[in-house]
Amino acid sequence: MVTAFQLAMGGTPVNITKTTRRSLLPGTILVLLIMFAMPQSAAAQVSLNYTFSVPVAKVVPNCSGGFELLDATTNIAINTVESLTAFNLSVAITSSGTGSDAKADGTLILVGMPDYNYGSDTSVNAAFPAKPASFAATIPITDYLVRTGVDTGDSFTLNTVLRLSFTNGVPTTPALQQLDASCQ
Amino acid sequence: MSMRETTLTKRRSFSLPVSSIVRANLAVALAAVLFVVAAPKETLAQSTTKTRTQDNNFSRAVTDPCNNDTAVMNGHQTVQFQTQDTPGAFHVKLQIHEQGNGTSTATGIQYQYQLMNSLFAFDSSTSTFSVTFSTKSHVIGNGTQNGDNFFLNTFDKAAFNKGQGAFTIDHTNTSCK
Repeated sequence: MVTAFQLAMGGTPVNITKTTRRSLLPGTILVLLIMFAMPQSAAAQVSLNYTFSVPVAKVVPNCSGGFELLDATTNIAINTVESLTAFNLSVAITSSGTGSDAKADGTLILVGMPDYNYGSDTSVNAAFPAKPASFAATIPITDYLVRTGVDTGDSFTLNTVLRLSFTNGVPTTPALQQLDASCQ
Repeated sequence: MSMRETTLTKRRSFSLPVSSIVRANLAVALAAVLFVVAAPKETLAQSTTKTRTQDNNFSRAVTDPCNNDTAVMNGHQTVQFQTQDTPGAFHVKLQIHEQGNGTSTATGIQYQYQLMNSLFAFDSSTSTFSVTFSTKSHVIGNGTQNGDNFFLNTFDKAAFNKGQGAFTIDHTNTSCK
């Protein structure tokens, strides 16, 4: 009969005396400990994805004395990759929206002009030698609002500032820190 | 490229009202002084603040994706770093100013741009990491229709090794609005 000990030693039936067993046992335990302690794979990676959506509805002044009601969405896609030797995070931020002519209180008005339109994409990639206990990034995003389909020369700039925070590699809900308009 | 750097180091210290303690109890005061002297220096939080300004002149050929025009843009970039390094907390503020202009030899269109709204901030529990981020500039063709305007996207890389920072332009691309 082949014992478990014999299988562990290669499966070859040998005549094992008590003395032999005593001498082999510490070595076997050492081999097993090393096997369990070894990393399963040097290329082992854990990749996680997170998505957030930040809706924006705000009245901002344009550069021709009027106001625009912004209706936009900022989508944030975050990917984290943790390996034995590094921690990387990638953030892709895409914004899209429209600006409709309005009064200062947000009431829409018809002036015969098409809506403003904008869209942008921004990215941030960070690399660490190991997963950081905490990391936060304040990211400015610049969008240019242009009326759709016509050249009216009244385009303007929208400045957005997002704050992204990570605790032990896990992102918290992004915070919109600033949203204002400026003339180009 | 030129750099200017200043360093400010602050050490928080704990002052004991030694004279009053001595009056009250000399033995206790002596023990307290010995305790403070024997305490590990690492327990005193140290904060190092550095500011650095890096100026870069550059020249790069860019293609206007809206009309396939190509122009060589000459520009100037100023990057201001401010780092504050405290054990377990590393703070970075990066302000980038950039402006450039150029002329297309094919069409004669004069392009120019100015980068604004570019204050980035990073807070990390470690002072060794790198971060790549993008900025977008609106390149405007002077005296032309809006159809000649395009966006210049610049991907900058800031690398920090134990609090020491280095800033480079990783790559650029263009996009049409």
